[in-house]
Amino acid sequence: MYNTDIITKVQNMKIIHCADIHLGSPMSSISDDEKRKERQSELRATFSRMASFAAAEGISAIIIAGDLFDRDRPFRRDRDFFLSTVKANPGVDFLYLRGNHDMDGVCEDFPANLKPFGSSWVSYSYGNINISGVELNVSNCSSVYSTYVADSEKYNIAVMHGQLCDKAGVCEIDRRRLSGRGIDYLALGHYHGYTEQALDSRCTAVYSGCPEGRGWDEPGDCGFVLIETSDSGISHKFIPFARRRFVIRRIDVSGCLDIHEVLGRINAAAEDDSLASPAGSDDMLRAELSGSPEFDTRNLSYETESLLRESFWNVNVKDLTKPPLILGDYENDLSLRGEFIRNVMKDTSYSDGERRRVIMAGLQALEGEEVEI
Amino acid sequence: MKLISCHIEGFGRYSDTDFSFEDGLNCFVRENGGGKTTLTAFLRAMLYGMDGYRCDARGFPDRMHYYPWGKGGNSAFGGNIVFEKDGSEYRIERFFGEKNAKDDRMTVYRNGFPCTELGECPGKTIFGLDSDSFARTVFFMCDDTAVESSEGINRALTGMLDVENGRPGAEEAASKLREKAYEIRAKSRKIGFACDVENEIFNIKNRLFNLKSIEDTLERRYALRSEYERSFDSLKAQKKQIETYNDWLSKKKVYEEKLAQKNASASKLDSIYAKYPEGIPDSDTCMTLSSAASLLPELRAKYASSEFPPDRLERLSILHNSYPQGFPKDSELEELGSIITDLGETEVKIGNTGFRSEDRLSALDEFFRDEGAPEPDEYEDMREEADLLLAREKTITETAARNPADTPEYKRLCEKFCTPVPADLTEKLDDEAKKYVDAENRLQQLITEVSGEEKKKFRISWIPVILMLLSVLLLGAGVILLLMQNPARVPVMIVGASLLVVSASAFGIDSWLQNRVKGSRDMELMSLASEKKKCSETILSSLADYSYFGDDPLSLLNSFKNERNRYLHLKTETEKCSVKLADLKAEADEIRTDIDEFLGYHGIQSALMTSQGLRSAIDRSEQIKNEYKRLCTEKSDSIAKLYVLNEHKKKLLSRRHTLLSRYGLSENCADSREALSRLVSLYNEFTALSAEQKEKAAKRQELSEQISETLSIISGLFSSFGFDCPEENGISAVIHSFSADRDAASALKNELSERELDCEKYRIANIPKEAPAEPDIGSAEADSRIDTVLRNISTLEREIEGCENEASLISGYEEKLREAEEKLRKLDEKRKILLCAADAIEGAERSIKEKYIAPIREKFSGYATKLGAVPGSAFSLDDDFNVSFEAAGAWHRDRSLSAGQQVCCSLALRMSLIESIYEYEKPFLIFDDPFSGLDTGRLEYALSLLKKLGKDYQILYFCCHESRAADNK
Repeated sequence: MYNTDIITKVQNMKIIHCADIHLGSPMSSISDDEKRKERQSELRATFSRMASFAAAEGISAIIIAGDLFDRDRPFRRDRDFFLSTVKANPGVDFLYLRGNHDMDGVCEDFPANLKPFGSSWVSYSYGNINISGVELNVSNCSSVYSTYVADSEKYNIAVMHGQLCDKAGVCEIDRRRLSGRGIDYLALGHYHGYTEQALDSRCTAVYSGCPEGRGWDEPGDCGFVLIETSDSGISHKFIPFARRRFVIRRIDVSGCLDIHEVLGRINAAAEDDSLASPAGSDDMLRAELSGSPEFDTRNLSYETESLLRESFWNVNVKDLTKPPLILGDYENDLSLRGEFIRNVMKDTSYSDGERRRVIMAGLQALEGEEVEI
Repeated sequence: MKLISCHIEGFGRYSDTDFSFEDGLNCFVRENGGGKTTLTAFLRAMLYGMDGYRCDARGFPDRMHYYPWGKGGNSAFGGNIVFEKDGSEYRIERFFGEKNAKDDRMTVYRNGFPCTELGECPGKTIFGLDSDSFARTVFFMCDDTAVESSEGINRALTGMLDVENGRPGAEEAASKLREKAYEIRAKSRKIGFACDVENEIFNIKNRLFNLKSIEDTLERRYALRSEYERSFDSLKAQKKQIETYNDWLSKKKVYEEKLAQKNASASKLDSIYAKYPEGIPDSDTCMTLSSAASLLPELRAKYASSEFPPDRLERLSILHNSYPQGFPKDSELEELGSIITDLGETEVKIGNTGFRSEDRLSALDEFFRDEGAPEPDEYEDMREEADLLLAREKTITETAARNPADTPEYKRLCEKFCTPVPADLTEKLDDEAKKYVDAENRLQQLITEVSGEEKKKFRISWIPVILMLLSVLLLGAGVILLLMQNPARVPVMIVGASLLVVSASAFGIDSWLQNRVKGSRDMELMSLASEKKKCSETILSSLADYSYFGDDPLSLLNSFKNERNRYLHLKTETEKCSVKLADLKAEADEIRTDIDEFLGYHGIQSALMTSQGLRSAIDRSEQIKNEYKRLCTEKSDSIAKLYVLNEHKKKLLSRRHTLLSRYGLSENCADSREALSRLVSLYNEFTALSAEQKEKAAKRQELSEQISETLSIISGLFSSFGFDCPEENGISAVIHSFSADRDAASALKNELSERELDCEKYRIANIPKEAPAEPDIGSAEADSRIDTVLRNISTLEREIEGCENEASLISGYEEKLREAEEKLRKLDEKRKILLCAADAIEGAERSIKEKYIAPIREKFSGYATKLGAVPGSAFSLDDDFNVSFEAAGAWHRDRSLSAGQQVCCSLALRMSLIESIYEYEKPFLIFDDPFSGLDTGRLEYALSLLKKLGKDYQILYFCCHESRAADNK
């Protein structure tokens, strides 16, 4: 909230800030073909829902801070979908800033409510809000900062796409050169998770994150940021809007006696709301199992995934467990087994993991068991 | 362990033969075929059994070789051996089947008792070696000089019991690991799971390459599509140009047509104008002419038709002559007609007017004639009376219900008290009851006192007791004083004695008093009981008259009094109810009587009606009264009306007579009507004819004037336009032509101006100043090209869609590629691990072997040197017990040794192994003429060794020549 002494008091305005939609993303993190296609549809549906939400809530504009499409040359179907969504919501303006992933995206046939930014600062006004955006390229990535002009009688929102750091580049935004320029809200795209940080005493730089997670590297709540102006100033809040979330849990299954105990720990970890974003039945869960359970873990990941499939929309289990290595008193074991273990333990050419696996394989072979490492 | 003896039942040449063995070296010299090998084979068969064979077996198996000779094959095939081990004596009895090992049977005895601790293969248990290993160590045959170890020897040496339990040894384990590794990738690196994954990667890369190639084509396709779109736009523009030009052409043609039409209209107009130099008669003129011309024939026709017809003239004359005095006036005829009509109506009214309810009125008059009909208030009063009657009847019912006279209780009480109760009976009984109660109370009191005294059977009066005690004390004191010789003793004792007497007397008096009291009390008890009984009897007997029976007079008396009071109360109630009921009934009867009378006044018999029906009867009576009044009124009205009608009728008859007689018409009603109607019709006819005549004459005059005037108008108009007046029958045609020409001229004029305007407008709107450029191609050509471009665009769109679909798979394949590469890496890693594990196992085996091979090597070196087994001093024994020696600067294997040297090597190795394996309990050794190939020197060494070994081992040495015999002593 800022000092509004000089800012014209007009009716409250609402603006949506979103970014990194990545329409056309292949969703390759999902192995199941049907679910992958469903997820692609959900990505589109979320964008459409967001537009409908904006129309229903009387939101003046949606800022798309880059990476609308997943490809430099988006597929026609993705482009047509975007344009049709824009046209279907004529009461909402779509302020489009191209990012590094959609540099050659929609260029022509703009509907009236689709307002692009360019390689120099372009501004659009809505009530007491002035929104200015610029697309960084090789030519302007250093010079844009000095050409920014804030409107002293309005709240100023700046829109850029890149990494906020201490240097300027095509994908780097120099925070020092934006500080103190009269910006109230810096709408950023590039990072796929919601974060915010103060740029100066007046400005907050916000990454809205992507509206739908596309892979395990985008866990947690996804959505957009709703910016509002009122008599007391400009404020913003994150609105979780995703259809589903990627949820990652690291679970130590040491001491588990059977797979059901492992499942119990996984479910407990998934439901634990002391951790961020407990996983629900509509979410996607990755369970990274570590430690040393007390039973045969040869098919642990496959069996666990099969048993959890009904509880979550998508499940991925990474088996990082290490079976207990029962070496016994190999120091004093005069048998071939003991000699073998001693020799391997003494061999410094192995890494710890390799040593463990060599010993396991050798012991299994000497025991007459099926060798599985 | 030591071999003691053996008995051969049947084995080869031996049959029922015994052998015994001593400690140390046992030398057996037998000629060839003496049975040396047979005996050694027997010993071996006892320990390790023999393999079975099939009929088609090749070679000469031992079972076949040593099947018992002689006795027609009837002797048993087997025998037994006796040996000592670990302090116990064992006997193995074993008999074999001819061919099949399943027919063998074996029994082991330990110290004379059967045992199973040696298992199914006693040799293995005893020596810890399998049969093959046995043959390479303990059992030295002449034709087996192999210098090598065996798995069983190795196991025995290393004591790897794991293997004994069925687990694989190092070689097997390493082999398994390598096999597993080669499954991943074979040694040749051309087959295996990893190779499959590599193939998969290769295929994925190929597919990716293809997909990316397709993706690359998208750019070109997008560009081509843009080009097609531009081409399409251009063709559309061209098409538009063609259409514009064609449109211009067609419009120009239309414009020229319009101009031509305009000119044609102008020429037509000019030709019409030429016909009328003075101008075309206007429409008014034409209309005037036309109307005049059309009027003429009409006028003439009218004139012709306006003549009065002769027949009608004649009729008029006849009529005039029929009534020379003239026809009656209209008013008179009208009056006569109305009179006749009115007369008829009046008679009908008279017929309809009359009172028809005379009988009913008479009947009602019977009721109301004398006193007249009751007033409405009286009916209301009667209704109230009826309601009151209902209320009274209800009260009567309720009162009757409350009357206790019919209750069972009252009846019962009446029966009880049917006998009159004297007025003082109750008082008397009360007195008796009081006496009874007093007596009872007193009796209880006395009984209580008596019982209390009995309880205190030994009631003690305190005064005598005190006196008694005092006396005892005094007497006691006196005795003491007496003993003390106190002078006061005598008075004290006297006083004590006196007190004693007094107390005794007091006790006696008290007792006497008590008995006396008791006696009087008993008397009183008896009198009280008697009185009580008397009172009870009095009460009971009195109450019995009223059917009160029982033992308790008080309760009975109480019941009597209560019921009596109840009876009296009910009786009083009954009387009250009866009185009240009587009053109510009287009142009700009175009311009923009034109502019945009132209804009877109206002729309604209500005696049998219920009270509920009376009200409706009263209503009906009021209705009767109203009806009566109404009928009276109707009658008087009808009489008055009839009078008026008759008067009116008289007047009409009089007037009719006057009129009819004036014109000689009958008074008879029917004829007068007819005559009147005939007169009226004649009059009407005469009047009509006269009027018609006059009218026609006037009309003719008027028509004549009109005809003249019309003719003058027509001629005047024609002459004003320079035309002669045509014949009357041709005027219309001329006028028509005037009109036609005028209309035509007007139309042409309008048409001309419209066409001019139209041409101008059309020119302005459609004909540009400059003509459009003529297109290069025609419309059909342009359409054809547009179709082609659209087809191309459509095809390209499909291609683009297909390419985009393909390109969208790239990420998936890249992911698959990553997964496959990761899988490959893991497989290779796994392979490496497996091979490392196999190497490590083999390394472990070697290191273990190294541990036990070293001493064997040392021993072998010693034995070999002594035996001269190997030429030179440079020789070695490797981990697999392969002997190598250096000769002529090169290393050679033991196969390069001579037969004799091999025997020495074999002996050296065997002894080395035996010494290493059997560190504690030495086995017996069997040598079946192994030195037949040795030279003298080596033979001497070998025999010397045997002697030496014989000190530590039991050795069974067989040879076929004395020269090779070994002396144990």
